[in-house]
Amino acid sequence: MNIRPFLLAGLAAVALLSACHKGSAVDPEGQGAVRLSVIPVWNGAPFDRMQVYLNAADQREQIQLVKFYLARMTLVAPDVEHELFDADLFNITNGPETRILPVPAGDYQQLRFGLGLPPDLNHTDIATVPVNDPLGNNSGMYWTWATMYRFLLFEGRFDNDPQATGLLPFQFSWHTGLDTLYRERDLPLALEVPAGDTVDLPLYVDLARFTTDGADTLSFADIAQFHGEVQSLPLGIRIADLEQGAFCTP
Amino acid sequence: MIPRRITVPLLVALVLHAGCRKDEPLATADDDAFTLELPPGAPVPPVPEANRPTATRVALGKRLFFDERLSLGRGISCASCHHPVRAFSDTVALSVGVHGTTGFRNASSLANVAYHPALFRDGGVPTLEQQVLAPVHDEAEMDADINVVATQLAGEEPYRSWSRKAYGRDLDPYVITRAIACYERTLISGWSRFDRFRYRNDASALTAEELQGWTVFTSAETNCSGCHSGFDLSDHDYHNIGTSLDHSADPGRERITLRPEDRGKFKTPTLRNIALTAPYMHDGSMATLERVIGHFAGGGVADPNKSPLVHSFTLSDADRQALIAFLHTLTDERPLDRLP
Repeated sequence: MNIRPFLLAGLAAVALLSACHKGSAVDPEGQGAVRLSVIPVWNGAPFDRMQVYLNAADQREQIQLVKFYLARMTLVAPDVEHELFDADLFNITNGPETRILPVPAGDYQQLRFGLGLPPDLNHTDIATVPVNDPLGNNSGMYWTWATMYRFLLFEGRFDNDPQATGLLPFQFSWHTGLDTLYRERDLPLALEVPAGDTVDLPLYVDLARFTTDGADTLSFADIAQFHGEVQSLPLGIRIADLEQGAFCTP
Repeated sequence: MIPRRITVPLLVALVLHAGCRKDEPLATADDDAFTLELPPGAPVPPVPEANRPTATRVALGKRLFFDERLSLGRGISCASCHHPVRAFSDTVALSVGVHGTTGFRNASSLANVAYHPALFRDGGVPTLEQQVLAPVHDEAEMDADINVVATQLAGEEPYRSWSRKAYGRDLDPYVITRAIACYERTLISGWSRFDRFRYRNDASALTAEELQGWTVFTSAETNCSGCHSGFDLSDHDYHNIGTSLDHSADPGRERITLRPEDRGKFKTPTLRNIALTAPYMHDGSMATLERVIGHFAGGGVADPNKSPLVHSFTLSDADRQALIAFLHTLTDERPLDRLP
């Protein structure tokens, strides 16, 4: 049998496929993975939940709960996007939380994600979701009065006296939610994911920036409690905006 | 996380498959049919395709509705604040929850709740199914975890067999919310003397005074029927009727829409069975119908969001009494719940 025509056709096909890959930063046939770690820090240093910090409003602050949704986590290459997950719940109170997620091999230059849940997910009928799903009942994130989810639980204790020692006398509890407090973030990235390999993708959350971005500083004395009350919405918007600025990639 | 669009159908299929034992066939329309008896004039209420009523679904929902084990400490059922003899409303301004504390709104009547496009007085909940979760989880009401409730009841008869027959799965939050919603949609009000007059051409159903009250009700002067219209005597829209200038305790519809122009707006309640559902208003602050009519006659406070439909008017004593007499004709002559 004359195999020459088949050989030529095969070589041509390989050549064509190679040509296709040259123009793309992502290899759709080569599968890699990323190890996404959401890492809490305080002013860039490792976060310790037992530590009492001094915040930008000159208050002593101890954080006891940091739990939030990230949504539509997407790696972006020049010509393609890959969504890592539609929504997931992270509790970084005790340290980093990690997910290993499959992704096409390639060079990614941007990380795009939402803080909270976009409206189409925020209005999910929770009774239709498996209880242990990030959006399920066991998440503890549902606001039944609004049939929507809380996006962020940020709780702890504080003291208005920066010189004091000992127990912190006051409690703060910021819970954001509602569609209007959903935020999106794009962060630059230089991430090469080889086929067959798993690479680290750290995402830092600077908890010191939950109360300040340098220009805007929120004091717990102004708002120790926020639970979606419309009367406090302007402060809720500031909380959501500050949270948005607290995320960064290396 | 695996995308939910994959996991949910997959899990549902697995649960359905697991629930399909050979000796327990799933319900079919033939052996479990449920027909809702509608009074003359009543429109057919909208029903979600995924939760069409069957006899078992409705019966299951009714049993859950009256089961106090839906609450923490097992002392309060849905019926504790929605009494059947009071047209499924409460007798107090603010209902008392499991911890002895009160909520911040008067418990609405569930009469004709099937027709409501959105639930709660602020319209914050889009479906009856989703509404069920709110009182169960609310710390000021039942303060329970619906997963725990479901786990505790799932193995018990008749919950076990009814749940499988109704929904092809064991009792879980999905079943609880669907079944109670199914039951609540059966609470159709439309069997009053007024209905005999209005929809069954029974001219003798109302007295002369009550007919005069109907005239007052629909007059341009009072404009009651400007909002209390249609079969349910409610436009199901949201209005600020000028009860107070202080909305700090309850911003009303603004709580959901976040729009300042919705501050102090609440959904128009049905007037059906109004004689049974005192006290009145969103906070139960008005004890009698006389007080309510007095409020509207006074035109309400000068709230910038107040509806232009609310304006002061003058009523003679006779017309005032006639209006109240008419409102009493809106009481159903048979129980809303006629299920066994």
